[in-house]
Amino acid sequence: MLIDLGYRAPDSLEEALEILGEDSSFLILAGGTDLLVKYFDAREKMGNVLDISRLEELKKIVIEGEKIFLGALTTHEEIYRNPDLQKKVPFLCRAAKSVGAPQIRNQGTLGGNMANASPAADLAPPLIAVGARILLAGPDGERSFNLDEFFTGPGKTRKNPNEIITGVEFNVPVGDFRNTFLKVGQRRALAIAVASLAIALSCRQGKVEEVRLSAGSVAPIPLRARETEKILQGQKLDNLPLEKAADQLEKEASPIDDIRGTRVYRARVLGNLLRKGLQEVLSQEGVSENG
Amino acid sequence: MAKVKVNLKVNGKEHSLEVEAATRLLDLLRDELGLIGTKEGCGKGECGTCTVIMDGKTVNSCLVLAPQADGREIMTIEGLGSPEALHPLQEAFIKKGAVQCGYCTPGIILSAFDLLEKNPRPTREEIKEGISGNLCRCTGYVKIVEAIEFFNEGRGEHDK
Amino acid sequence: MTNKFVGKRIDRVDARDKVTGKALYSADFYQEDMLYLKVLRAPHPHARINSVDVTNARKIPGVVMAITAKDIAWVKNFGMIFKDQEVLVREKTRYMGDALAIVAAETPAIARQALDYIEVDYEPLQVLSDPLQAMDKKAPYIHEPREENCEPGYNPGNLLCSHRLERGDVEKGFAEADKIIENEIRTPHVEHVALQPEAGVAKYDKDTGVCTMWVATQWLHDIQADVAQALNLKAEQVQIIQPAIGGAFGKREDVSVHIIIGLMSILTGRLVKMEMTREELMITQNKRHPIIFRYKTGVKKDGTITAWEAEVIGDTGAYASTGSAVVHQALYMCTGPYNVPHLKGVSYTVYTNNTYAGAMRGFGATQAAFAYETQMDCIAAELGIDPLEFRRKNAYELGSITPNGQILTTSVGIKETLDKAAEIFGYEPGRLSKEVNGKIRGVGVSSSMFGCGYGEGFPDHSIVDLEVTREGKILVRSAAADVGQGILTVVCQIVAEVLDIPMDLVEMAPGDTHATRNAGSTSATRQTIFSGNAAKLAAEELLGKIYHRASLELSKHHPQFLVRDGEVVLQGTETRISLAQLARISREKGDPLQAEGCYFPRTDVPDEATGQGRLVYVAYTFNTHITEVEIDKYTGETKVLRVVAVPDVGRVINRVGVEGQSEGGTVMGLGMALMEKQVIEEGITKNADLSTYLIPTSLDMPEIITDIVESGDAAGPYGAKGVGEPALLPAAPAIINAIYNATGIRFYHTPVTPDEILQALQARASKNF
Repeated sequence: MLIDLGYRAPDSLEEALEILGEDSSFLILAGGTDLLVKYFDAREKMGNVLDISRLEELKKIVIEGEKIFLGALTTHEEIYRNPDLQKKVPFLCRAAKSVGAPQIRNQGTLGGNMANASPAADLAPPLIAVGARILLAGPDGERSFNLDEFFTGPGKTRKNPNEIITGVEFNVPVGDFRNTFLKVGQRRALAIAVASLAIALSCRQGKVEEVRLSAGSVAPIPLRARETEKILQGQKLDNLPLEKAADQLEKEASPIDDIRGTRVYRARVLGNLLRKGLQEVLSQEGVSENG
Repeated sequence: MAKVKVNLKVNGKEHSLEVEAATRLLDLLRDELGLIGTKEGCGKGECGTCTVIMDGKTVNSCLVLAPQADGREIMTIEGLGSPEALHPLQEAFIKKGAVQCGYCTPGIILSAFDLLEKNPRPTREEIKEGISGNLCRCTGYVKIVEAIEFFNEGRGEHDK
Repeated sequence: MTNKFVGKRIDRVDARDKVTGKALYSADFYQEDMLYLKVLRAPHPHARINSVDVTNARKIPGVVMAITAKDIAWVKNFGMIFKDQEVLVREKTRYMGDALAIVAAETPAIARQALDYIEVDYEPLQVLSDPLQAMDKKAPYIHEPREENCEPGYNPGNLLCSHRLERGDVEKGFAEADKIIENEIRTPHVEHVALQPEAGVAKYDKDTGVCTMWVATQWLHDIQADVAQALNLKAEQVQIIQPAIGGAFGKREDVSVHIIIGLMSILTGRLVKMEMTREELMITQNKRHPIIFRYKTGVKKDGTITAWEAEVIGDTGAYASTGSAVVHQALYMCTGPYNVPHLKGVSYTVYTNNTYAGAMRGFGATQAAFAYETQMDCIAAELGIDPLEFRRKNAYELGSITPNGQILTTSVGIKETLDKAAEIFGYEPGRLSKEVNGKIRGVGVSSSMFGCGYGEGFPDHSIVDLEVTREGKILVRSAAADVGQGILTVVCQIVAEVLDIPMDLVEMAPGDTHATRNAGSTSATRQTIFSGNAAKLAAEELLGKIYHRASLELSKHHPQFLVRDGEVVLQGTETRISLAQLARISREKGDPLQAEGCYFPRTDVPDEATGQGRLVYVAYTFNTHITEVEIDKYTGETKVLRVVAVPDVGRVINRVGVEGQSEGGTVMGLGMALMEKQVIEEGITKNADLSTYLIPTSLDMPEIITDIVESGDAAGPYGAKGVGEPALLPAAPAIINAIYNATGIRFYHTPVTPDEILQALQARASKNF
């Protein structure tokens, strides 16, 4: 391709980082589902665009046993359709499926979903709940963060403008791992979450061994609900303190009113999503401890 | 923004163009190639009227920068059939009354085509899911779903 | 005699082009050297404009022209009923869609950028967003006060008009009642979301003085007249050629780009193109009127309605558009298809600084249907009568009197729609809600009526011209706009039926002000009745001419031959004359095979003081829906599971078309019930795109079963009535009534959101403990 200032589409990560190293004002374009919406009717104001959609090295999905790496350019559709992911982390696939519609899922990428840092980013809650780390590459080498520490505000992350998200990695908990993702939208497709909740529960001998809860659209960033987790931690599966946990989760949320829903509803429905979601995971068939 | 050279294959035909980098694939198809079957309904990826198939996947062409389509293969509605030689899926849309104002029709047909390529025996729910990125304000979707089912039944008979 | 085409499932005549992407819509017209237009809209919903400075915009390379109101002092105001809208505002803005400047540039991007260089100096004025506030005498005037039109006590700058309805003696009726039920019911701003955004292309020919435009409209000749008067042209100097239309639903009754493209083509002498963005058109173009209904209904214990009083207040926004007609239609339909012996009502159409409201599918009758079906459901619940039974008891029959005093003498199928819907649905009277897997199910019933055609004494008509071509085809010339509903197919079917020829021998000429004659508007659910009748009359005249010419040529009596499949056949012989041949002969004899049909029914202007008349609308369409919903107790989300939709259309012309309208109307109503509201706060729209203004997707659609009642004998061709708008009317109220049945919670507005349902469910739960 004819390379010209203003639009660059490198073939390698190295080259992409070089471009950013020289001029970090480049807007990074991957799937385009957020960026081109933002610059709708004002594309001439985009300035310099770094199109990373040709970086093959960011398109990998690597699954080695319980260790999983998802490249930043993995699309929502690829996550949703991946049979291994469907088996190991069904709630991540469910979250991916809940995004937009086929076209948006074909275009929108994991990395874009993270970089855009919307409180409603659908992939964030299950990834946080599964303890994912996000990997960044920059001119000074690689960095990584726990995903629940990556977001700093709506549209804001700890990524520097000269860094590129390369992917996320996580380990699927071994043993009896149960999970679910629930989302309330305003309709059944092409819907942005009014509230969402990912529940990841590792069970052992009829008790909650480890629990992680992460919620979308109820705080300035995808929320990790640590206080609610504490209430459920170590509890017996047949006697979970559902109401107490739901009440705590409502308190832990700090939602706002916007065009899609009210603050009051978001908190209230979040508690209900926990009630509904815990019932669902309890009814899931526990994977035997031998795997 | 600068001009960028874009080579791409559209409906089986190679094209080499120079466009402003900020051009969308949608504009390239309509303004440069005259393929007006691809429509613009919102420009924000919310309505699906600009759906095309890029390298075997449906995309909203309003959310693809033209240079991103460099080296890629695009199929638009014009690549499926013509008024003189309809694709059976297009015929099914006519027969079942799945067309009213017709503005969503090219995009929906491409979504359906792509769905059937990947899933030759979709359930009714899978059909609805497959066209869920294409808004239609006229039909209530009923006859669109029926048309896709009808096409598939016909195809099933051919298979026998 | 059985029909060959009428009543059958007929493929659309325009479908082949539409499924292949060949159909040309307004934005599909391209030319290398055309100019692109962009419009600067208001900075504030209500502001005094001190100056609009385009000096810097004009300096941008590629900008060919930038104009403000000062540059076009000669241009006149426009508007469908009242000419109250300025092409470019001169002194003040009245809503966010007001145009302040127009830029013409070599590319859309340059035109877009140029808008940033226009400087506007303005003083904000008080914004009136609430019609009740705007009606108040103390409120500032949005328009020049018109004391002569104003009711005493109201605001002369903001009250556009009022209408009245009175029959019988409501006080007597209320005195006879055992119960009186009063409710206030409200509907919001709703957007049409026709998928094709407003767009148009125009060129001006200096030599002929004709401005030709390719632009969608629901009524070619009306827009032609409005463009012409605004631009000081004669009607014949404005030629509008109708492209394919990507949906309308009332959106395209109003002027959008039309005057601007015409104006700029004249000023620049170039071919100009304007495309509105989705945001721009949502803010700028007409909305469904938000309407407040205040109802008071008297009933006897046995469920007999004794009296009904209605106050109807419609927010028409910054400009009148068709507002006066929409709001009085809401009044005229305010009691639905139910017998009411004593009736009294008043409606007010009020200006505010909101986006102006105009026509949208149902034209006031949609809002009214939601209101009266809510009221009917409330009354049934209050009396402990099954909602379907209560409707049946009061439903119209032959001899019933409409709110306008029209005695129904034909085609009243409302009871049949109720019975048929109940049967297909498997309706259980007195049915209570059921809980299935944490989800609560309920069933709702709703019926509706709709007066077809403009009626009310309006000189409403349609003309269709036919001609046998050299090839022996029948060329149909009609200006009827096919906005997707299928009128072109209906017209072709009728012509084919009368002439007994295959559909593919019937051809439609494109709608063109200079080649087709007035067909009236594609609105008021009138085209099947009006253009359908005109086509039938024209075809019958043409058939007569064919017979006449053939009898001369064959020297035979009429009964000895027949016209079939494009030929005149002498019975029992091999002798045939093709229509092509006959057309040639006729032309040679100076009597070409041409015919015209005009349908021009008379209706009465309702009495100003009482709204009463003898024949106010040419026909009434009735509909019933029975709908089942399921509500998620955890989230408050409503899923519509199943809708049985039964329209009474008189007679079916195209079965696929009727079903398509029913299904489309049902899903549009689902949107209205559960998600659609253009949020306008202090005159500013908060959700002007399709990610925040939501319409139903394929995954939201319920199972829809449409069965059709053919009560026959209506004013349309073959006894047909219209179906397009009425198909929407019962959809939303049936859903809201089903939510009531499921939860026991009554909502008096649309849309009902999960938020509200969850809140109400929890409020009730806490009350019970």
